[in-house]
Amino acid sequence: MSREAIQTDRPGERAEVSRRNRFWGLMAGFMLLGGVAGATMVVMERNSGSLPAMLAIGLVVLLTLGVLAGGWWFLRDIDEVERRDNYIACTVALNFYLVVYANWYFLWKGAVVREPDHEILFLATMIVMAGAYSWKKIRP
Amino acid sequence: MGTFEQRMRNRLKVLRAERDWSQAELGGRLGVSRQAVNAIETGKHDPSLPLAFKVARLFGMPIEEIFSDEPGGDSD
Repeated sequence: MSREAIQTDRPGERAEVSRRNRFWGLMAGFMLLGGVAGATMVVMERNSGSLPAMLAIGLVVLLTLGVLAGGWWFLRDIDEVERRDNYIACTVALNFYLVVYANWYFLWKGAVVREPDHEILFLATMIVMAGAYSWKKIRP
Repeated sequence: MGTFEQRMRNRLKVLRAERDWSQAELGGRLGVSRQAVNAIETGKHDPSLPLAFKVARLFGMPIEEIFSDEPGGDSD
């Protein structure tokens, strides 16, 4: 008998396994959405650098509905510690974006650096958010 | 933990051990994750008032017999 099977003998542990499965199911869904967006960008860049209008609209609908519905489901299902970690990660990322974008913008206007690159800002913000979330997971 | 933020102390670990429950078992009964139970037990997270009431109901005790804001309780 596996360790997982032994742990599900009790009602609380069964509920915890079920909660964990829902959590990772949602995470897999978000990763799939990210994978679709990333794969589309790679294919697009390797070809003409543009997308057919209908495909672009379809992706917008998919990402918007996926993030909104997934986010609603996620926030409804997680506990208060997970919610706290998400809020902290989002706040750190938003502050990072505000500071870096504003600084880059003024330095650009002062002809010190090139124009702000929104792809770099987006990726950096995502990395900072993931880092803040991981930090809270390691040190609750 | 900074000195500006005084965490609550609690007897959750002792009460759980008395019932021979794992953190996952207690989490499942409370509707929170095992990690949340661990964070509360180790004093790294103060539970919300609704969760504190849920804990009190589960153990059949008043909240103040489980949670305390005075130093010298059971949690680290």
